[in-house]
Amino acid sequence: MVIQLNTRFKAQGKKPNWCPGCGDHGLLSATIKTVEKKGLLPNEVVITSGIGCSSSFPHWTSAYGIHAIHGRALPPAIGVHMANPELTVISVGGDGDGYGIGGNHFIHTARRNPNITYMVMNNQIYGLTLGQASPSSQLGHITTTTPEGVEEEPINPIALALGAGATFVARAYTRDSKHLQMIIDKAMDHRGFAFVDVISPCVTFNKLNTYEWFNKRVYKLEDHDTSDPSAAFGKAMEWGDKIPLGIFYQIDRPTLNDKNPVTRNKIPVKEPLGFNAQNIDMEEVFDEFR
Amino acid sequence: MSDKNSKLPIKRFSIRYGGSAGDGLQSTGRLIQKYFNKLGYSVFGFPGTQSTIRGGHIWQHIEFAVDKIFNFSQELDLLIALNTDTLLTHSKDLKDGAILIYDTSRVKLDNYQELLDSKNIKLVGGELFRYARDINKTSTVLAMTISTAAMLRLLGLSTDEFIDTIRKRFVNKEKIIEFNIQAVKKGVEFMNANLGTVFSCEIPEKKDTRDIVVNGNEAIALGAVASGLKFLGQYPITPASQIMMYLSKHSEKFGVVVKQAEDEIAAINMVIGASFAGVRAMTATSGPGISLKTEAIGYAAMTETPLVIVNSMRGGPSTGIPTKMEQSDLMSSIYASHGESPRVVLAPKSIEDAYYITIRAFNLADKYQLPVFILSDFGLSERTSNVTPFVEKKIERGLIWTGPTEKFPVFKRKQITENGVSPRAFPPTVGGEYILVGAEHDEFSNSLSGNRCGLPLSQEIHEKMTRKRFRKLDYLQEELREGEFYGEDNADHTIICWGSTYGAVKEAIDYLNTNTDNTWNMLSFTDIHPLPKRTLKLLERINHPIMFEVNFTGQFAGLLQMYFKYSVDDRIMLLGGEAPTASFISKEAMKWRNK
Repeated sequence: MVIQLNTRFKAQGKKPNWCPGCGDHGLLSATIKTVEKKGLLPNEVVITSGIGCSSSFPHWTSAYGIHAIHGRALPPAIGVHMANPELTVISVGGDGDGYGIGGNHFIHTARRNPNITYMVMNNQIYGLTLGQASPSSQLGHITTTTPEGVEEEPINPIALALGAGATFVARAYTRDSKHLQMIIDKAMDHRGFAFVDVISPCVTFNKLNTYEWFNKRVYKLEDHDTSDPSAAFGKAMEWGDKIPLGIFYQIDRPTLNDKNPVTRNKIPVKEPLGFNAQNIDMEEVFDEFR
Repeated sequence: MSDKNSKLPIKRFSIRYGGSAGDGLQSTGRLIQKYFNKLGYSVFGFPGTQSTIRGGHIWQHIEFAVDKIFNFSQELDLLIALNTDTLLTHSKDLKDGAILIYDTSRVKLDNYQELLDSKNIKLVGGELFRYARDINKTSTVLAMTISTAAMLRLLGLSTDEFIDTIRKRFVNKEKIIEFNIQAVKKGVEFMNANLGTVFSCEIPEKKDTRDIVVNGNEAIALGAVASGLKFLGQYPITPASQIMMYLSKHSEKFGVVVKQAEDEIAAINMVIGASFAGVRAMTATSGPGISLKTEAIGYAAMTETPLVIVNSMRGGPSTGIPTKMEQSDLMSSIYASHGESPRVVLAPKSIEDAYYITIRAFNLADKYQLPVFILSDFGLSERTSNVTPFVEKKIERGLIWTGPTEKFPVFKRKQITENGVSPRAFPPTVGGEYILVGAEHDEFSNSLSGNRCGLPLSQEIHEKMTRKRFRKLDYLQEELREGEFYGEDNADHTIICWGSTYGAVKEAIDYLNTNTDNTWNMLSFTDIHPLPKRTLKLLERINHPIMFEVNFTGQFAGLLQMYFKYSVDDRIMLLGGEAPTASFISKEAMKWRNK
């Protein structure tokens, strides 16, 4: 009995349950196109996600996946990545999942610099729970939980990622698939934690930040020094009439697995189990206790 | 000074050091235990710690004996007081005629003089800290060495092996060794000028022992490595941090990735990811950490992800009494998380058991694909004792799918089987691709959340999958170990206990059988959930049950009621935070002797 090697990342017989027009369709197809173009195989890729509309993403692919609990897309990704550094790990989720309930993991994963690509489908609203304000909702936005408009400053994911020490920070827009694919491609090529804030409009619950709203505002970063943190922070603060897309910052730094005393030399999942199998002299281990 | 013939023979001797955090009680305590181990004695150590970095009152108990010690004693033969709080806390436990060594500049005897006189305590006072400063101005830790050497002189034991132990501990630190050798000399002189040698210790038969002095946390860590642990995700918390500290120290050598996570939630979710990727993975924490991990525990059960979770219990709820002992997380271990989710709960009874139960925990987690709790507590995690060097046991990784077989031609991660266990595949196994998902799912692990959720098919699947997941517990009830009797057969009274209190209860049973007209035995449990059905047969052999557990609500008693409709009305409880001793249990048990 032989199993046919699957080279296609699109899940067979399953269709995303996202609303027609939802930006998430755009990230899904751009991701599938990019990983296929890179020659990756579904069995070598693990996609993790949290909870929310966008977090059903792994189910629409034929790769391995972890559809984790709310806000926890990144910790299991780190577990997979360190247990088997040979796998390609992609994490996805929404703004509520990644910037709200999972915000702590976002910060600490950035500073750890694992070789993981993290793409957040940012629609500035909670969609799955029917339209509540999210951490990235615009100030004054009237939602089902903010009848007088959002009163808290929206989170700035780009500045947050920069401040936390992310080594690749970018923004893309699902309407511009070609640019999005280019960004995904570069993010996946990056050795280290690659974060992409993906503008992915919600056509059902966010009547404020619509495609029309973004189309008028987005522009691509040009003549921008991606190695300059000050320039990156400067551009990160731009949001309103003009919204920059592209790579804000990229730098080389040793990755989590480069520095870890085990993963820098070994692939844990391939190592034998126990003291004796690893040629560890138990007597020597016990000597510390005598 | 006493002459040779008048020396008091001893078989077992209990010592307590009391001082402030920073005085080096715990580190020196381990050295002294290694010393007694070297001489062939059975040794038992227990710390009394506070949530403090420096100052406050902490203590270290050390006990040695020619026969095996199962628990430390309440009563003290020797108290070494480096602060006055030592007398406040421990003078009541001094045996009649016991000895008190104390620092005359720090310890005020005034309020205790009457008590000390009434107990005929022999006082040995000296300026221990000044002697220490005279050797090295900057180190007060040497006061511990001085008082220890004085103790060895008192016991008539050689200081040579103690110096050997110090040399080994501070290898290549010549200056520290030199200071300590001077301190040992000073301690001996000091005792010679006071009581000299008072005791004559029985010499143990065991010589050249290979035994090791470990604590419960180290035993769990060693058991995990022997089980093939590759990933530990943990967040610092008392009293479980030592597991992470020990494994961090040896991470490279042991091949164990140790990831100190940003929080308890991240720690367990990392472990879930590592387990999904195919390695053996563990997290360790205490009650507050378990509270934070509960959602992920349910996720692991729902996704049938093998996971070992160490809960080293402390006093709760909330921050509770963080450096003290309680057995109050039993029910939360069984039920933590919303919904209904199967898991296994094992509570080791001793340091040896902590090692071997850890190996069983990993095997059970893989075999049944669910979370397995190791329920330790402060009293076990932090106790030290010398044990026979551990050996490796068989590693069983359960049902792993690496390609089509006759039985499993197509990979279905959640295939419904007779015992509820389905094949697992790890990436990058070709054909094994699946999505781990916390939403209810079909045999292929396809989520039913979303558009299929409301359809009749989903109702049917949820019922089938719930039954599948819980079927594992039926098999576990056959496989897990039943309770164990110790003491007189068909005894008048039986003390029922679980987990780490085993040693204290065992010593209490011996005491009660020797010193009362009644007959006593104990029934102790390590495998808590799911309780084997055979347990009822054991319970039926009991004439009068007395439950002893270190909690208020009687959680294990409640479990026996729930499983077997077996009632235990008479209870001994301990709520002060200190670990139980045989004398406490015997005293309490005797209240029920006429029943």
